[in-house]
Amino acid sequence: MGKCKISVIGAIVLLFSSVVSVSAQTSFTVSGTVRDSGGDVLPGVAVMCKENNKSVSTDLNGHYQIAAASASSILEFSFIGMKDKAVPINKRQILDVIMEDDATLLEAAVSVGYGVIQKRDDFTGSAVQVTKEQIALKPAERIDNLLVGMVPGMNVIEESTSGRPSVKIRIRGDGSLSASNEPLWIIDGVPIFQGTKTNSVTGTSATVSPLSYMNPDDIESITVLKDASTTTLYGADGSNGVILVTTRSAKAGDVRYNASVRYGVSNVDRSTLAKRTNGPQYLALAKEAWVNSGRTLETFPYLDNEYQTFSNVDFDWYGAYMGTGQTLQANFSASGGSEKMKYVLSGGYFDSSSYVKGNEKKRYSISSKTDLKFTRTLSAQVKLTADYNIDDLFSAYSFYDEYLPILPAYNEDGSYRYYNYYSRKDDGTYEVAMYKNFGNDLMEREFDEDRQYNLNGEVSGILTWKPADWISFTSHTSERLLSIYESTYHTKKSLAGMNTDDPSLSGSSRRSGVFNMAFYENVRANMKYEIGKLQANGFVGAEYKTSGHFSLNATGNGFTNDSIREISYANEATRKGTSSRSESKSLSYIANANLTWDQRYVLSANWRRQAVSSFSEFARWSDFGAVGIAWNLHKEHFLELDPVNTLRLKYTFGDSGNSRVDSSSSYGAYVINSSHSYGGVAGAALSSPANPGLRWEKTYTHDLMLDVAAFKNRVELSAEYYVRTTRDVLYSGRVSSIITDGSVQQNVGVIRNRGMEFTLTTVNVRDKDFSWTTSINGAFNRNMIVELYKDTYKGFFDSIWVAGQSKDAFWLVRYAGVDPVSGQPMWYDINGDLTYNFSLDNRVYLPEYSKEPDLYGGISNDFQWGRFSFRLMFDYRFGGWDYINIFNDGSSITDTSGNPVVEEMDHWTTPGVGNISPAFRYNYGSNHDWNSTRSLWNTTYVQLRSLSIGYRLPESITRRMSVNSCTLSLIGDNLYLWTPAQRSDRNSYKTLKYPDGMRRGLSFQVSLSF
Amino acid sequence: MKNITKYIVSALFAAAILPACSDLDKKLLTVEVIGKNTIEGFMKEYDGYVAAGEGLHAELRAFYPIRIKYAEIAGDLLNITASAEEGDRLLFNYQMEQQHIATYPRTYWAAGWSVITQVSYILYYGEKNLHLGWSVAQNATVRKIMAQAHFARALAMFDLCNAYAQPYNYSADHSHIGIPILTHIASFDEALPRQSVAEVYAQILDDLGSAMSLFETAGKELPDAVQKDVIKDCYHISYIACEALLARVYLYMENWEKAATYAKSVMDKVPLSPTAEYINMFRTSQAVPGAESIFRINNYAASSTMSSFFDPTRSGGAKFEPAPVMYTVYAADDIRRQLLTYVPEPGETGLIAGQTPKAVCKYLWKKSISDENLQCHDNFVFRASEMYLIHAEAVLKQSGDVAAASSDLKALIARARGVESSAVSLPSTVDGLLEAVKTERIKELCFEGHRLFDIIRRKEDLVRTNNADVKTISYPHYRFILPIDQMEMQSNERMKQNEGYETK
Repeated sequence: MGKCKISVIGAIVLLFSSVVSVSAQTSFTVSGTVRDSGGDVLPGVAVMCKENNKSVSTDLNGHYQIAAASASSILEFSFIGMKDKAVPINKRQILDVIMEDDATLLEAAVSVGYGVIQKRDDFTGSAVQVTKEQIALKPAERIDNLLVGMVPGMNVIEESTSGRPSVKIRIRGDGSLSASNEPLWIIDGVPIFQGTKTNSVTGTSATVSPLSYMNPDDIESITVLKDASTTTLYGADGSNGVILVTTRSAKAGDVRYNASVRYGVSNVDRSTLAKRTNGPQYLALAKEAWVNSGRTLETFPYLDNEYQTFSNVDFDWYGAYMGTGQTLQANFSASGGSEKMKYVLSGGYFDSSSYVKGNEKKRYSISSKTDLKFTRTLSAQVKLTADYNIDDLFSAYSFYDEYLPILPAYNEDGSYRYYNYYSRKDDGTYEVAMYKNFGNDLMEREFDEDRQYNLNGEVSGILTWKPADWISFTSHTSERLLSIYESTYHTKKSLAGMNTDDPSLSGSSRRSGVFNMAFYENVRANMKYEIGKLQANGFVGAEYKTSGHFSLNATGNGFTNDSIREISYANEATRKGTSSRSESKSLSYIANANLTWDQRYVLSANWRRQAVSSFSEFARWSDFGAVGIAWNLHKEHFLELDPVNTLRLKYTFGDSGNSRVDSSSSYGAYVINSSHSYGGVAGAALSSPANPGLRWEKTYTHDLMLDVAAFKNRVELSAEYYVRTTRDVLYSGRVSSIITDGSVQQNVGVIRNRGMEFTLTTVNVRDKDFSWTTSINGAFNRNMIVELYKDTYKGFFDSIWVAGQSKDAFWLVRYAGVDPVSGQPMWYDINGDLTYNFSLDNRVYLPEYSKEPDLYGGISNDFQWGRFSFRLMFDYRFGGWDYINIFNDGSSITDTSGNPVVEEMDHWTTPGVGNISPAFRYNYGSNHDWNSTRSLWNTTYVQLRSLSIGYRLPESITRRMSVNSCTLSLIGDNLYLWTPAQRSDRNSYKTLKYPDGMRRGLSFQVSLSF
Repeated sequence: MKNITKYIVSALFAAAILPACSDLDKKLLTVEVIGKNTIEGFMKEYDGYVAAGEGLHAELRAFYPIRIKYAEIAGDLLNITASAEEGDRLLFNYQMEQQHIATYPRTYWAAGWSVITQVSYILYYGEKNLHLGWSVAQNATVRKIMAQAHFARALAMFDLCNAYAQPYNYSADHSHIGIPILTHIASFDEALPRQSVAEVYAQILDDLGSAMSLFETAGKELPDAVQKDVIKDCYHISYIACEALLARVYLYMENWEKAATYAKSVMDKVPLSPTAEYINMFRTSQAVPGAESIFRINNYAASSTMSSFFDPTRSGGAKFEPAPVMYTVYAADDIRRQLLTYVPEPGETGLIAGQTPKAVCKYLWKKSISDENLQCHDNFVFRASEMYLIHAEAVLKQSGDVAAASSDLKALIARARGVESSAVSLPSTVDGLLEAVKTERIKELCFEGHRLFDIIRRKEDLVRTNNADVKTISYPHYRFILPIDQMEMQSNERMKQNEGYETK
């Protein structure tokens, strides 16, 4: 890091220290100067004598003077950006100290879980650590999309449902077909509730991601573990990678306060919305389709009639659903204390409304961590945290963006339009009738209620007994409660709540409660020993987890008026209630050992034996193991590597599992419920047949890694190659319905993912006033089905599994364009000949069209210039295809058929003229749009994710404000999305990547520390 | 003090690590599963086993509406309306193909096999349960449930074979392709091939034999609950139901002698419902189950698709209504005519706009029933009237016994018209009477799932006067049976498609 930054911070710390009162006491006085390795003086270095709890800071000349407890005390020097240093006084009165630059990326210690923090030199595995600073200015909605573009090989896929964002995370491709592909989230050592295997919450009708419940401001660091040697420790849940979140911990010393306030606005980037026809364009197209099919305009459905006009109506459905979002967040934390007791306390408030109107979130967070030292050997850490969230949701009609522009949401008088009047006759007659304006749920947004309250809390305690230097015992206990109350009410005024058959049953209400309770206990004996050049450390332990998920819900409809809403007042006959529960337990034994010889050779081994209640007794226990080796070539004396200062080779191999599968798969189940009762007597039926041979799905990973740093760490490169093979892949598939009609879990085959990942960080400029650091990461993954146990292929909508081929390549009919003579769409048949007939039998496997990109990752640039800091982050994806179907060629013009894309306007009309779309005809083959390469889009993009500018106020001002530092930041999110095929008059991946368009945000933050 | 701390902490750690050295892990990992149970755990409890027996009947309840609708929609006694659904429309117009997996080719198949799969579990665990030292009465109940399971399998196989295979008499030696035979708990990777129709029928007869002998054994131990000679509970499978099914199976096999014997045996034990309760036997079935009921499905508190299918008073309207021919077959005084026209009861608002009163009232409960649980129709699987018709047809074919056949037909006609049987006149020739049996089967058993199968087993052409596009299907024809659905074809490599339905 640049020195200019250091000096600024130094000045602040200096200022801070001057506030601290230093009490005079007889003692041993030491003074000296602190310099960095380049010989420059360091102002603002904290100097502390722990024995008498004295601390001072160096002045602008790097000079300090401290009253230490005695002549044999130890002084501790700490400074941001520098390694902490402890120096024994040894009766010296003058003590000059040289501090070294803090660990760079390759040298920083990594937290690998279970209390183990390893130096990079001693670490054999693959882990990427993201620090607080890197995520500090990201949108604080949820913790999962903080990581976009930060971790090579980690794909953060942003989706949205009905205007609400959802996120999928894939680390190194899909390893499983039907078990979960989501990584495991561990917060401060404890696994959290993530929802079902697809992250949905059972029991509520809409899912709000549990990863949005916690305050990102509390995060100190996030470590993503990818290779076998680290994920093996998480056994049955580790195969998709593990994400460790460490929250802020207490720091001893005088109280330090941090506070920040951020306000931002967001809206949609209109250039990223799918381009569709406007009202007049639509009407013209629909008429043409109608006439082209041999029908007459007199019977055209959308003729202006006495009840409704369609011509010159152009309703902007996007505009009706989207607006300006706002975000306000405030965070505060305080930390301090003595060696006997130190604490950190933090609170946060987050209030955000989405640019998709009707979605609002409020979050109140409070959290504390206290470290207690009872005796010299016995200590404890207590963590208390709770987040209270209120989410107002609006689940928009799924295809609101495609709803016809000639069917407006409002009547002329501004009231909501519930019905449209047009003809649906298709038999040569014309008859206007009334039809529900079903795409219009704006009244639901205004009148209806869809709200979730949730309280998410954890109490945990870590007790440590350290009877000797080489051994300690730890017990970590945690209890978590996540409770959600969801209330939805559709008023009599909305289409969803209205009962036209029986108006007395209008108004419908749903109330649900969901409780997720978890208990976690881990006991370990940790050892650390050194004999000569051999360093050894490790632990053995046991872990026990239980979690229960309980839900209740009640529904009813028919309310006297819309203000009552509670089920007790619903029409008695309509009141219904249901409940459900599921519980799972897991017991494990774990062991870890690391041996380092002379800092040069490292050997590590991990083992976990785990039982999960969801598997049958015979397949319940499973063993997972991994080994890793590392060779620090830069520590070898026989190698002269200059200017390379770090060169390390690592290899790991091991296995991990995936237990997020349906628990009844192996036993088979008979279920007793009302649908099987007979004549009022309880009846039972087979709900899933037994499959006692069902085995754990296991993932074996080889990982080869290379770390290089050169020019005093100014260039750092980490590169990895991995082969990840999942055996006995579970798939929920169909078997002959003679055996069972439902789909069943089976071990179907072997899948392999292979890929490369790299991170390159360069310090391009580093001088007194200006520094510039660039970090580029990238990855690619190639997937292959190695073996299918049953040699029958499985074909799906647009993909197929064939042994020896990728499961991510498309299986589609090849589109051959428009016949310039007849205007018909053409395809290639299975032999490659042109055909006018669409048939699914002509689908072919297309390895050149794969979902997998050639390269994806992120680029970030950090600039420091005087008091300014500047951060620019992109994420990118090159190659890869996505199937997104947007065409219908006029085959249907009903209100459900959707508003055509602008490409349809350029359709065939004249023989001999080539056009991009086929002739537009009503009721003329419904296959135009199906399963063909016409709907494939190249997914290459570069996106400017964030741009932030920070300015640190000068001391002259902060002093007057009585604060140590004050930073102002201006942050832009998602400022631009580039795709190669983008055009203002055509759709491309740019307009299709985000179903609700790209959210663009601008915010302003003030951060204070005092 | 320090030592005490040390001891406490050590003890705490030891307690936590203890599970490692004992089998406490079993306790720690036991999860109480409520509402859902492992198959074995469920079946070895008496109450669970009994519930599985009830559940098997519920499985037939799910299967039967599909099976009944199939045989009637593909027949010639219904007219389609504008509100009919796509799958029914395809079937009505004989356009079913193997890719129509959302409708009959798959729904009929899956529902039928679901019955048979569960029979395998019930028989497997029933055999085990008989060795658990339960009481005599409990063992008798187990045998009764096993007997019911054998019957259910025979019935489901018979119904599946009729829909997916050409009739028994299609080839002289009955060696043409039938359906798979499943008599054990199949593992997931098993691929079951189709067997010949002869083998399928042999299995049906074998199952019925097992069912009857189990009923007999159970009856000895539990005479109150399991009786050979009386229908005590027409909602459950009984010994007499086995005889009734045998009569029907032998009729289809053209084994006239046995068909007549079993039909007669049932007729001797089960009376015909009197005229007075005839209509209510259909329309208020829970209150009037009907004296002639042998086995009917209990729809108490269950929702069924049948009533909405035929109900002209609901929004959407009836999907099918009786074809015009039905309004001409009955004599003016025939009580069964009343089941063709919907007459709103007092206080009822009546038909919704656009609906005609033409309706299949056999499946419409009376709107005056106020108890929601009783608002149901209990569709018939067997009733005594059918036995009279089987007997008449069999004796005519077997020996030309005009007197016996006339007496059977007269009993039905007289009951329907509310007159003495002497008032009924019938043709005197064998052929004339056979024709009369045919007509009487339409009049008596219409819409109860017999029509298509009656046409096929007699090797007749289907000639329709209803509003279908397809008016004639000549026998033999591949379209008289359903294709095996595409999903089954893909997931079972030994499955063979019916001729004519192969992928083109």
